[in-house]
Amino acid sequence: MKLVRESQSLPGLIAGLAKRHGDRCALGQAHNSGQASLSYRELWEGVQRGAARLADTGLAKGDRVMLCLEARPEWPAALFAIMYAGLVAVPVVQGMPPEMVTAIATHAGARGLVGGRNAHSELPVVGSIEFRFTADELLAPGGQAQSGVTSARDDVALLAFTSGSTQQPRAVVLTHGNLLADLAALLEVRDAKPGDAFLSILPPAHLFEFMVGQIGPLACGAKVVYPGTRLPNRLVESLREDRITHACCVPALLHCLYDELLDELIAAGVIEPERRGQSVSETARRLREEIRPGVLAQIREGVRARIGGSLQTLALGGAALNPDWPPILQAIGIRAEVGYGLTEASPVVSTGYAEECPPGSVGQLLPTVEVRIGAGEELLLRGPMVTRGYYGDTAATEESFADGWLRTGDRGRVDENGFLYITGRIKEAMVTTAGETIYPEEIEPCYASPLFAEWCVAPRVSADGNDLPTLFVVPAEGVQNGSAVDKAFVELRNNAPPRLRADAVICLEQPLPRTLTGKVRRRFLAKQFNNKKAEE
Amino acid sequence: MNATTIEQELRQALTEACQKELVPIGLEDDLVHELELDSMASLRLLAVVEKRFDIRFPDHLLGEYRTLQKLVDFISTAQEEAL
Repeated sequence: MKLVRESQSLPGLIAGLAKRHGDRCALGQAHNSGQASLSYRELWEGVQRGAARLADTGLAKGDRVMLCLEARPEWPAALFAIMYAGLVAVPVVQGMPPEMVTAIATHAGARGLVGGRNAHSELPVVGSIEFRFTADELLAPGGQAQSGVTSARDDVALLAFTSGSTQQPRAVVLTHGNLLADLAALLEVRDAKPGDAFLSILPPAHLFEFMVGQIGPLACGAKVVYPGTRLPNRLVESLREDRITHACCVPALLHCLYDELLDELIAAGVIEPERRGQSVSETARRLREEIRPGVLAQIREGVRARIGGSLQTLALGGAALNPDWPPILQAIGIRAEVGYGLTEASPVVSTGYAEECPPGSVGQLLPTVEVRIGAGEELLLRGPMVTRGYYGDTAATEESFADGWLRTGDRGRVDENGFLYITGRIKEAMVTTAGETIYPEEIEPCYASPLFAEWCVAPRVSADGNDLPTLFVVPAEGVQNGSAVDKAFVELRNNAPPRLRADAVICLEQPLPRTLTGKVRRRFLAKQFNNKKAEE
Repeated sequence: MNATTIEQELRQALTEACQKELVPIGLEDDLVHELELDSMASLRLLAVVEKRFDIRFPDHLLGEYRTLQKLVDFISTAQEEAL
């Protein structure tokens, strides 16, 4: 903690960690991938060599260098090398459409690029890019290890391009001080220890994964493991073989763990095999209400044996909005961690263990985060982790701040115990024909049914241009579209308070569209549906 | 296991996994398109096949296994190599 508070830059922190942890493993690939790992000392040596090679190109302090690399131990090494050379890193999520990568390179005015094997051939050709390295070239042994450029806390460390489907990419400017402040605040309430192993599943360029899944564990002397695969079954394999203790969760992993639990419940004769397809909420209800503690303990042991028994916590991003998951995880002895964050706040703002949070809360505010509720109940933030603005976009910066407070675009409130609640996304507000403003999050809890595997509310557009709150339902397995769903909908609708009554129900054959961390993309769904209707 | 047996078992596994009938789907049809799979559902199907046949797809080629024929070929080769 002291080291984090006293470091002036992220590379400075890595240097200190290398001194403290030396040959302890810092970054590794999952057991089954056969790739090499890096100790804290090797990581720091790589950072120094990489920075020296970047310095040789003549790039000047503050120049932008893109990092387009798959998730592997060299990713953080390359990132810190860019920073140690006094340059500004522009991490890009792998697999992004090429035109998006080009747009980012252009907007950032990137002069250099560090990539994977394809760094010289396939990545975007943008006039401003003068130097390209593969990560292997950048970090290769040999060469001069010279001291890098000293960075101050106020120096820009990286430009984080906000994800999403916006036409124009927005680059959040984050300084070393912003990132170190969020890290220090996070470590005051969460700690890991050497010997802990974090499975890094989300793309490393995702700021949440960067903070909670990479730099956070490294600051504690723990190990970061990259799964090296996108296949969900192998994530469970990695939990077992790499003795993983923590991870930031993605929906695919949740579903795999759920499948393991179902296997165990079926083997124990608690659930009939033909009911495997029942909804997650129905399973959660049965775990809560019908299964005796002795049987539950036996099932927990069974599942933990399948997944290796080391896993302690899973940080849930947007998936936390579904209240069924924490009890499911609890049944298999895993603590669910909920939270709230946004890129503009480096990114973690609040966190808490699900079982310690009041229902609907996303945890307690981190130390040093200040909150105010603005017009329209908008959540406003201030604190040392908050960005100074968007790169090359004064208009967006002005629009996003009110009297020095960051406008989050989310409606929220904080209770007397410091628990934060997010009650809606301001952009997702629906204005009904009656002129009333309603948020999907207000309506959705009224429509829980064992017949629905997933559901959400998004607006259809009425003939007069108003929003018709519509329930989109993915039926549970074995439930047919049609009368059963309609009947359940009518019943739920009649029981809902009048202002929270959805206008209609639409069955989907696909799972709900979600972001990487599991947030439902309601606007995307509504847009798809409204476009389809317009075509018809 | 010969190719026909693999195909039968594969159809059965995929039918169970995606709760959709695979009978009208030909060996060369694109599964992602025919079954209207999103990227996560495609990966989950490959995961089911890995588990069922005790094989491992090379990670960098995951996007190529989109037809029953490709899957049957891969499984046959993997099983021959395992012998």
